[in-house]
Amino acid sequence: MRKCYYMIVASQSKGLFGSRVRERILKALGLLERSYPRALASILEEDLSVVQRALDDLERDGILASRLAGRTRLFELNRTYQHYAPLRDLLVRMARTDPETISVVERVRQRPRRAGKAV
Amino acid sequence: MKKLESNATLTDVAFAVCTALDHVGEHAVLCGGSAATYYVPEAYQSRDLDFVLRFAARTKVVDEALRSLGYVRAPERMYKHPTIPYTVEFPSGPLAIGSETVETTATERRGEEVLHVLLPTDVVRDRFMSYWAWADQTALGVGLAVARAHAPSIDLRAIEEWTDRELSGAPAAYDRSRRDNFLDELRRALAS
Repeated sequence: MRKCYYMIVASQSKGLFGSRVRERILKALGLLERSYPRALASILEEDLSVVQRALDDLERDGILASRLAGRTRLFELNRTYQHYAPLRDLLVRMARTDPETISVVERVRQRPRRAGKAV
Repeated sequence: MKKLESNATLTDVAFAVCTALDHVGEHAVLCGGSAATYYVPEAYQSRDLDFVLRFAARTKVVDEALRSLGYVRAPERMYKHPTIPYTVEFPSGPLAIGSETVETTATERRGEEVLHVLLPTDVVRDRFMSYWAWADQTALGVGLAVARAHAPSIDLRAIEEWTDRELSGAPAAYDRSRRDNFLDELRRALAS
């Protein structure tokens, strides 16, 4: 009797933006507005190198823009990107309907804190 | 094809690249800060040339055309020359300023060479966009310098109407007062 073997390969959706990491980064930036690689890697619990590569790719595609603030490279949606406004609206909408994204960005303190003040 | 010397200017490289690409059937338009340098080299010197290619551009063909000028592909989608400091890049298209696609460009000729480049009005819009989005004062100054140097060909009304469309399309995205400041300065530049 001939036996058939099936191999089940776990696959992950690449989502609308070509990769799961890209989509998670973009949704997080949709809510946070700007962030830096180490912070994004931390809140998304992804490898820093993976996040860095995704950010670099998105920047090369003109979707994100970055600038240096001291020694930190801050990334945000590129305001000169042709589809900036509709993309931002879409990401905010996607993020607000995604409990995981809301949960991770809630862990980020965005409001100012005076130097030396207790947490 | 004209050979590029190590003392080539940005304009020399721009003509050489555009011509080499034209010869192999690829249409490339000079844009960004390098287009501003083309119009006002005394006011601003960009170190990289940005060209937007058509969507279906063939990478291998582009590589070969640039290699014939001594430019080879480096990481980060950038082309470098061993002795010329200017780099060449091909940002993702389409050719757009703000939310609007650019339909008309200028075609300049220099002997046998050709250069497709943004119109002066679009260079002003493009530089203003950087100021509008990032408060980039250099971009504002360069945009105004292009306006002063090419005042007769600047379409002020088109720029005003475009900023209105950008503001109404994305009211939260851009600062209205920064736009008003730019238009005041632009009117003064065109009147000077």
